[in-house]
Amino acid sequence: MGASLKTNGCEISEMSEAVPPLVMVVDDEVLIRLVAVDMLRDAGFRVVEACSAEEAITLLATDAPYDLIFTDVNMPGSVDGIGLVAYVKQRYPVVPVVVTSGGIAINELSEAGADAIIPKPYSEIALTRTIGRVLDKRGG
Amino acid sequence: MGEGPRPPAEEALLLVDGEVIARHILVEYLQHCGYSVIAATSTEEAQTVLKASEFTVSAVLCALPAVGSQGGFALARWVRDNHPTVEIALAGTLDAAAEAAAEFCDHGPRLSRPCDPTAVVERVHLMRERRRQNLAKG
Repeated sequence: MGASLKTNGCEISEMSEAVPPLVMVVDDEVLIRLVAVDMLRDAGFRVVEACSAEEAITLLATDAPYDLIFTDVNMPGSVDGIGLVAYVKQRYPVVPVVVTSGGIAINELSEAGADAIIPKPYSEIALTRTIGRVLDKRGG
Repeated sequence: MGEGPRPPAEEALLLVDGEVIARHILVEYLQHCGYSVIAATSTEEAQTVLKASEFTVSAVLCALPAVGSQGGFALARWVRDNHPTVEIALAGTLDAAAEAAAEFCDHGPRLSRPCDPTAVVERVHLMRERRRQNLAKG
């Protein structure tokens, strides 16, 4: 274990041996977002959440090393999930994007550059396997 | 982990903040401290989470001004009325507090923003202790 910070009863590790992949979950429906976050955390991923494409773009600008974006398609705001896919592919081409939606226009998503599509509702196995497969492909 | 009081595993802190970076930093810090944290981006999301049976929330930390059709003070009153065992702390500026205090005078801000993460953890410890004492009283 590496060095650590300790403050007010809270100890924070500065270094760890194996860092799990960092996944951003983007969904405007809070309960669906929280369930996805729980599924991914349970599977061992580090997870950051955003409630809109605008928030996702703000987080991406912090230069945190995101390994994958998992986003819903239909979201309010000036950018929807398809717009987010296009933005990520243009600005961060090495970051894979997995898309979920209840009514998916596969052609549109493929043209935008989505790396995988998961129909809603999705199971924990479908979510974690798809994300694992996309990350494996990226790593290989 | 440190020696401070640890929360029961099944109970979570609900953090309400409309500013994505501020919310993200506090979530990360509290998780590093061993807390289970649920992030909500608005007062409406906070109420949805509190109503949902899937999640057990022990305390709410809400930024002021809160995003949503209600303000943070209204959320505090709603929590007190509907979830009386759930502790709530508000974080905001004195100016914002003074504006809203006329209507909801008994839930002033407890934490200043930008939040000092260590102050947040201290506040959370106090809130959890108060909740334990209240639950013990029945």
